[in-house]
Amino acid sequence: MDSKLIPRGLERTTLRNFSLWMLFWVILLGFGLYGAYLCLVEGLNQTNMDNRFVFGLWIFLDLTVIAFGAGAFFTGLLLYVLKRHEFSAVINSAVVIGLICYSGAVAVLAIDVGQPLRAWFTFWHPNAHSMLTEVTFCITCYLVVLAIEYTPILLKNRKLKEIPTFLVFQHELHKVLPILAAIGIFLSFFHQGSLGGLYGVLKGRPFAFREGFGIWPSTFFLFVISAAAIGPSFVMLTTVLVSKISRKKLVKPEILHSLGRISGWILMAYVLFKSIDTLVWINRTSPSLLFSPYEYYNQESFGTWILFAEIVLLGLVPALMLLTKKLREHQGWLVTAGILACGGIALNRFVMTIQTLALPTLPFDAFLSYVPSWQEVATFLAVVAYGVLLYSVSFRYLTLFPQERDLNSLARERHVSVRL
Amino acid sequence: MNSSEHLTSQYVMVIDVDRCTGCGACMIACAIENNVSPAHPDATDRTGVTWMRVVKVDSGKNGNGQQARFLPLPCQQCAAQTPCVTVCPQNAVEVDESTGIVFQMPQRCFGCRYCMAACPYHARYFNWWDPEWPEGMEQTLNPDVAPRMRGVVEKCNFCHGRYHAARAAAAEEGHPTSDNVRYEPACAQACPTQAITFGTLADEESGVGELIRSATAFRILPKLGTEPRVYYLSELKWIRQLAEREKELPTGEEVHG
Amino acid sequence: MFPFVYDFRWDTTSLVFLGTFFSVVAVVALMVTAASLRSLKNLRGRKIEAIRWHDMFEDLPAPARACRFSISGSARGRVCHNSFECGGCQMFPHLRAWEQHHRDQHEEVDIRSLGFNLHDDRLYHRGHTWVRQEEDGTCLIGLDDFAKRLLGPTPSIHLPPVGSTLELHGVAFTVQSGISTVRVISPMEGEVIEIGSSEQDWLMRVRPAEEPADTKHLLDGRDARRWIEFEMERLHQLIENPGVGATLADGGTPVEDFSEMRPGTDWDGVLGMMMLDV
Repeated sequence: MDSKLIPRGLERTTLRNFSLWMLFWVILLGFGLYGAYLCLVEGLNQTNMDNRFVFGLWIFLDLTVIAFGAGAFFTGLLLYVLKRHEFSAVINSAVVIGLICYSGAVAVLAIDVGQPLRAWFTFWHPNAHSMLTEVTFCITCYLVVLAIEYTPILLKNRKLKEIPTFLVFQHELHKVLPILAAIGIFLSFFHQGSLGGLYGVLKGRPFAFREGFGIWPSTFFLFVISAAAIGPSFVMLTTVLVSKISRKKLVKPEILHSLGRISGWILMAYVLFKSIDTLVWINRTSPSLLFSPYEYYNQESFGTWILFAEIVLLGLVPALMLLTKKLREHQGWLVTAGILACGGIALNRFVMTIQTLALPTLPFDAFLSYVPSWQEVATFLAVVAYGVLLYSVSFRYLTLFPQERDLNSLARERHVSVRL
Repeated sequence: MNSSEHLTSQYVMVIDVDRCTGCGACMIACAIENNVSPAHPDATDRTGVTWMRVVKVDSGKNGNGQQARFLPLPCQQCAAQTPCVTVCPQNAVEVDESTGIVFQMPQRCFGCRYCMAACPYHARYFNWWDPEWPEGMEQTLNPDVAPRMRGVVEKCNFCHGRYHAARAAAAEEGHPTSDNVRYEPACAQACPTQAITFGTLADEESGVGELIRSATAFRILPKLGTEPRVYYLSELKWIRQLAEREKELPTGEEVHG
Repeated sequence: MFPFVYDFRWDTTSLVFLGTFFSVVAVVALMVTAASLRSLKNLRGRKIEAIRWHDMFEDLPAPARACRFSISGSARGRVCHNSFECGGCQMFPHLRAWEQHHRDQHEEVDIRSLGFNLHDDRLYHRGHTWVRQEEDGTCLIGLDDFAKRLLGPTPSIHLPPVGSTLELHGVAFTVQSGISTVRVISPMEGEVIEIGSSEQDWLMRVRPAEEPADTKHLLDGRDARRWIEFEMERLHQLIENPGVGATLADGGTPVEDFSEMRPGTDWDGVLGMMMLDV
């Protein structure tokens, strides 16, 4: 029924199947929006955050999805700056994922603050010395850039491009995409870094505090490198996932291997820098504030295994896997390595937010724990549902994978009796 | 501790731990003075608003060595590298140079709680609920202090309202309105054992100058470099060690203040 | 944020920070404004058809964009970079010269390719139209045999009125076949002066924009033979069904209606890919 909206030459499932798929996510979205509504209307007491655990599930997941969304800027870097034209096969999908990750994160942040209607104060009275100001400005600008980058993809819909204004506008936007991509890279560098800087500057939290270069603590650079490392992997993983769900070949396999290899190299560099940073922190930074690093890890369930898991199990191991050609070219191992790497980045974000806050600075306070409330989980599920809905609509009606036409036959039935 | 770190006009608070009985009068006086609403029924010790918070500390030993003391913890009004000031994205908290008080502007705060993460003394509190006073109790509200709404951060400000009232009174009486007008925060006024002393270094009558130079004076977490304006006094070594996180106590020559 | 706002800070960090922010906003706004203004210019300057063709060309799969010299065997694996506008292609003169030189001039060319009706007095366009130059300087345009078999026996053809302007690689006319609508690409630039009747093989008579008409991008009989073979191969690949080894030919002659050979195929997609309208 909606076949005229689907790109010509691409096969998509029936409208009925699609509607059922969407219905599930719409219901989840509705449930999640209810949780968010409660938090907005009743107040943040609907969460399990408190005066010690001022950041909880939302901030941890925000940081994680923003790191995953780095695939948008990194693929832009590969395609428009380094002129690696093969990545035009995934750039559209990467942009959509970036848009979803950033818009979702901003939506959750709007609920996370106590007075969302005052959010514009940060713009009107900015404190340039605060890392959070830098984050706010950069993420807002970058979200606008992503929306502009999404516009030509949207306007190239089969029906929309018949409208001359849209056709011509997306054509002109396409010409300025390299410059927008460059701005996106610049903005991404700063906000990925500032998100790390948020914790690295906290002298009041010796667990998170790091020395650095100028006003930027080492966590600034570690966050940028880890985001750059995970970006290509996440693009690869989402491509494989969408390919499996839609049962279509979407890109030539070499593209996925290439993404994996790039991810592997940067991840290896990250593991190296992270190890050096950890050693400096253990031996110099933390002791200089009179906090022995070992006391951070003698709490129940937050032992040194967390550090080992982050750097070795979920850092070094996937890096080595991605750099090994035999493993990388086997989809099962490629995907496993990608998932491990994503887990490592998520664990890093978790450690910097949740573990930092669980540990008391004041000697008279205790180590605390926190479990998110259902409203917090629901709100985040709303973001996931929103992401799936937006991606599904984009995948069905827009050309997210230019190579798809080349890779799939238009024959529908497997057993056809041929009339001669 | 060098007193030159604080200008002589700036306020300093000295709390004598050995005198504190843990009665909590300071906490109640603070809440009443500063229009902190009664806690919501679901509030816990981690979600309540307590600008002044008395904690119990103990020596960690058993048997004869077991000792406990009470430590009142207001905002430490950090004088250097004030953590909450540098991190606030919209400059909703500032250090008043003349008085040294770190004051929060709740009307500009939008509740991101970054300052709360930054504060090493866990001295900042968030309004998780709308403040609500039971019927009739609104008559106890202090007209000199603005109440705060849900979703913003607040903390001790050395009873800034009383400072302004004292200045206004001094102006009315024709005295020169110097910055270091003498006044007393609610906690100091309420303390039955007079464990809390408050004043400026220039004001010799308050006695704070002498107190912070005594051998038993210490501050909490001095190695963080925040230069807090709240000093504590205690004869007990273990409390000083706990607060300063020094493994060994310095010798007598290294004077605290 | 601005100097007139109370408590604006004049320290270096603030100024650098805000300066950078405003620069980024300015660049982004500039880009969007430039794109908008250029779009307005394009709309007014009637560049819509050209933009539509160039954009769509990029979306065609690689086999559809094969260079004519790759099809004829003179350049292997080459893909067109100039939207089939051979007249503007830098490599065209060299490749053409090379081809002329190396081709066997006396090769007997059987222009009946695979049973399709190809005529030696017609020039063929990649969009499956043909052009015949008449003595009076006008050109006749029609759909080639391959397209007719693709579109089936009773397509509904909507021709433009007399007096319309055709742009090179713009939309010449539209054809409706079943539920699909195909926009047929115009093989030349000119003005429609006559519409063909149902008995005639041609659809439109066109006065070319320049005389003699530019025909560099059109294929003559010899090129067209190889090209039709190539298009059959392309069609096979599109609807290839592994394990079913049938062809679209019926004992040597292609069937009248290709779409009947593969029920269940996405025929709309096939039409789009073969007629260069995706």
